[in-house]
Amino acid sequence: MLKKFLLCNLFWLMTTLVFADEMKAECESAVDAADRLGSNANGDCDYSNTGLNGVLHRAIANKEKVSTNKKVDTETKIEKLDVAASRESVKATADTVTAKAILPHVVSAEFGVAQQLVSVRYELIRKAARECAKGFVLDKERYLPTETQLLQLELTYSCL
Amino acid sequence: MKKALLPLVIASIVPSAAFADVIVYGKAWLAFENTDVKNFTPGVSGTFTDIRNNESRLGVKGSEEISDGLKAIYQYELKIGADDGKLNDKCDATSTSVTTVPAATTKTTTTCKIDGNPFSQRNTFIGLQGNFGTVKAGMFDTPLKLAQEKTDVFKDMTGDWKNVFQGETRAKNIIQYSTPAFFHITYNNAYVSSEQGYENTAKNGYTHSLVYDTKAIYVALAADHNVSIANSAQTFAPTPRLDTDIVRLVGRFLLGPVVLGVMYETYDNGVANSNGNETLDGKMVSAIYNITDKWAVKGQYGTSDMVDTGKVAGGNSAVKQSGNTASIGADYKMSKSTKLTGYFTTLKDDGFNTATKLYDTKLEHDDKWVGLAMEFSF
Repeated sequence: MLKKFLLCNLFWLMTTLVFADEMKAECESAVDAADRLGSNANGDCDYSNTGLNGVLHRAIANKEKVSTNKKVDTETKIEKLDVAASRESVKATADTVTAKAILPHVVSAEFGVAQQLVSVRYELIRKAARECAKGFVLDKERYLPTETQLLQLELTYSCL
Repeated sequence: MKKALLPLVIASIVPSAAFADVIVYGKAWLAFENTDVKNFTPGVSGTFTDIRNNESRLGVKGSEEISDGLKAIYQYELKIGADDGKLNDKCDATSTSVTTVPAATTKTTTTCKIDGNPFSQRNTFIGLQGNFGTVKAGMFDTPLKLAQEKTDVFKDMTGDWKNVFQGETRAKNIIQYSTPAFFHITYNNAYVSSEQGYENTAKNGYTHSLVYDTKAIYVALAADHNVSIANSAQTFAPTPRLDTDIVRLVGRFLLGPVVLGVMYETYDNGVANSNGNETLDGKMVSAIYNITDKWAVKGQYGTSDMVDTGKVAGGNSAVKQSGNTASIGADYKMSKSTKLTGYFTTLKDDGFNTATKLYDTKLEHDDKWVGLAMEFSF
């Protein structure tokens, strides 16, 4: 009887020893694990999501996420700003061009005798033509006296 | 959703890369007790209620990979006075002689000073861990103390077996080497420096354990030599100290829902007792029955003749004093982190008078506690 009892216990002991590897220790709380002999041996236990440690890790992770999102947002904003700025720049250039075209121009020259009038007028018109690639329209033609007893022909024109 | 302020503050300060391998943990553990004490002071007994702090603590530990197969490890832990913000209650007895006619009388007064420090250091170390094993140094529990594993089922509570056994030491100035586990067996060897230069009186300590550890079976054999002496207060006047030795054998066995624990210990305090026997011994048995995954009942009984009553010349513990502690209780797991424990604990000793070398009924203890503890691990 005693023999059987001892054999059964020996069998149980051996079974336990053989299957010891399979009966892996559960992970206890980090605070209790810190009190054990191999307090740094339970590398398989993940405490990144438990207790105070979990809260801190999640807070750190959120901080990273916020930081990453901010970076992405900032980069997107920068891109948007760049696109907007270039559009503005294009528009500004276009506006400048338009403004240039719209503003009236004045050219003038002096003459003393009647025969010079045609050639002086021709020269002023040629000047305007060089300024306005698409042509121009005469807004005003004025004849003004000068101090030297000559006449000044003044043409005001707008480019088309 | 409200978020805790402290974690956010910490998270904003700590670089996220540095935090990856850090574990922050803690425990808040208080008990409400009704205490019936015999000879709280000599000849004075009484009952009172109190809130007891059962080793509430806060700690941080972690590791950093140095190279393939080698990492630096560290742990820093503080005990917190969660009940009253103070950890050290020191009671000093003073006596004054008053001469009155016709007879002189002696009046004894006891004053208790409460240290205002709410923190004290627990296990703290720095070390290296790799394929060669683990080396660490600092202040931490000796291999002999940790050999108990989970057999003390009322550990850190009123029924803790440290009340009747020697060797429950958190050593200072200790350096330890632990082997890797070979077939679940590890060997732990530690040296405790007394940091004293006197050749004939300096007693450095040594502590080691051989451990077989699986989920179903745990067996450990451990020994301490002069560990308590190495850490005891030294004076500049060299005084010869006597060697002390402790040997402890522990077993823990899982039998279905029942966990059994046994412990046998011998203690040689270097002082001959009245029976001429230098070696004192003690034994302990414990059991937990896990009724369900939430409920468990447990019990523990320990008896020894090495109960500490104070110091004799040389700083060694007193001669043989017998005592025992018994506890029964029930655990209820409210959640993974929260546990309630109801318990009843007794503690008795013989009341040995170191001055008269006689047993004194005015010094013996027969204390009882009934309590309810709440333990929250975070």
